[in-house]
Amino acid sequence: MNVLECKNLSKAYKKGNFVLRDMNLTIPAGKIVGLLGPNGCGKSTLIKLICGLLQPNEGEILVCGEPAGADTNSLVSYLPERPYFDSWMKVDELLAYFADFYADFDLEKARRLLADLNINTTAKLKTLSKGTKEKVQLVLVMSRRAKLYLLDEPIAGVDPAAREYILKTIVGNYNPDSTIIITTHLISDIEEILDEYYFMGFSGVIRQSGSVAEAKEASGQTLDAMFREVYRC
Amino acid sequence: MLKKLLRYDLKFLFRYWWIAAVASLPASVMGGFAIKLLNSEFPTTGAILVAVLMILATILTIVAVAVMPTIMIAIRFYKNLYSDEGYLTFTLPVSRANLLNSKIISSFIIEMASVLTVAINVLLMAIIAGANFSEIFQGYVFRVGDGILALAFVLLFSLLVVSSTLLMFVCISVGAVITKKHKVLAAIGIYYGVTGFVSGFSQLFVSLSSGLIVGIVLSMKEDVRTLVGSLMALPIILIIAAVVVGLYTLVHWIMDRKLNLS
Repeated sequence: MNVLECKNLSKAYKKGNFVLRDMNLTIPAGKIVGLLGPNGCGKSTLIKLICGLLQPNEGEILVCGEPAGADTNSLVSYLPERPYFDSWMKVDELLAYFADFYADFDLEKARRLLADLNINTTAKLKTLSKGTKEKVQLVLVMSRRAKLYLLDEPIAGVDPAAREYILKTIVGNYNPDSTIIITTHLISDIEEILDEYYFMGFSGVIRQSGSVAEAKEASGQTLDAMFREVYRC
Repeated sequence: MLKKLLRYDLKFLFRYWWIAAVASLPASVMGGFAIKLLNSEFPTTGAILVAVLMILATILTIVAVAVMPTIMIAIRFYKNLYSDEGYLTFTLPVSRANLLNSKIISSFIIEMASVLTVAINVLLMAIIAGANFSEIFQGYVFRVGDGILALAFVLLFSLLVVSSTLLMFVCISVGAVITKKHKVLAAIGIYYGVTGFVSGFSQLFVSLSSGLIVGIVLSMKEDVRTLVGSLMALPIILIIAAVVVGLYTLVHWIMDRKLNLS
């Protein structure tokens, strides 16, 4: 079963200036997928379209066979590239918020992960450091039993130790029936955990895609080296 | 889901307001005594000064109770939907209509709570200051149409509250989609532009039509005057209801089709 299908998808922020043009993409269930490409190629736009933060000019997005919208938001767990919490809330209140709105939220798992990180759940978010906030956000997103996880630049702007923790959390809390889509240009950090990759060009053109293991074996290169070759300026 | 959204919206709106509301009650008691003091025979200069300061403090507290809801409503709407928080709000498994309905209902609840609190405060001050209510209402005779007039007033007032809230939502939404850097400034500019235009237009309408309406009403017998007067509120209610529907549709359309969080 395909967890995500984009059919003839186009998005322009200004008339005629397409960020994505006639894009077609099919992603099956049970994979960790890297959506990789240079800055400005439309990775974040695609993610925002999938979770309904933007509306396409043309085309269709299906999540588990359903048109993307409020109903499919219950199937999608989204980690944006910035903290999206109300800073006056306490971590505990945030946990209650997720438990209230997401039927698939595993409160016990979230508490356990936060305890592992020694994060005080009675603390207000505004008192936490940027890195800790990002960890809280990741824990909440990965504590859902969603069908599709959309992680937009999850390791950008964090130190190497935090990167390691984030990747460990993603792999350790991943349900084999679900799909994780990770967008990033920090390929060397994530290529070890990816099953499949999509090299995305400008206007949403998929320049290269396939199994990471097969591509590495065939080319004798790392995914990072392949990326550099494809996008050489 | 609407109930859950409402719970969080109300929690935010009442977070600081309730403190002002509770503080306003002793302030009004103090204000009532101050008025009584001023009305007493031969108050000293010092007593007058203290009484005036007490009355000023009371007025400030009541103004805070009345104004705070509008500020909190604007902050909640902007922050929850068009700042980074929007990334969470708009990806909840909730329809855009429910997001908007929750904002409107919670705003209406706090505005009504504010009106009620101000009314209680004024009444409290009047009682303590020694207002003679039997004298105020002496000679009042219930007329046909008083009930309808009261109903029309409540309906009109409620619609005005909702329409002014929706107008604020429209301005914030338009400000958020037309600019990326100065969203709040744009929203304030649009709000003053629109309200200036609307108030100019309505003043023109009132000045042209009021003479005619007053003339018609005064030419009627006294016992049917209230009834006819209240029935004449119907077209105004319908116009404002149409404005509410128009504003609601516009905000919903922006949230649904034009959303572009930076």
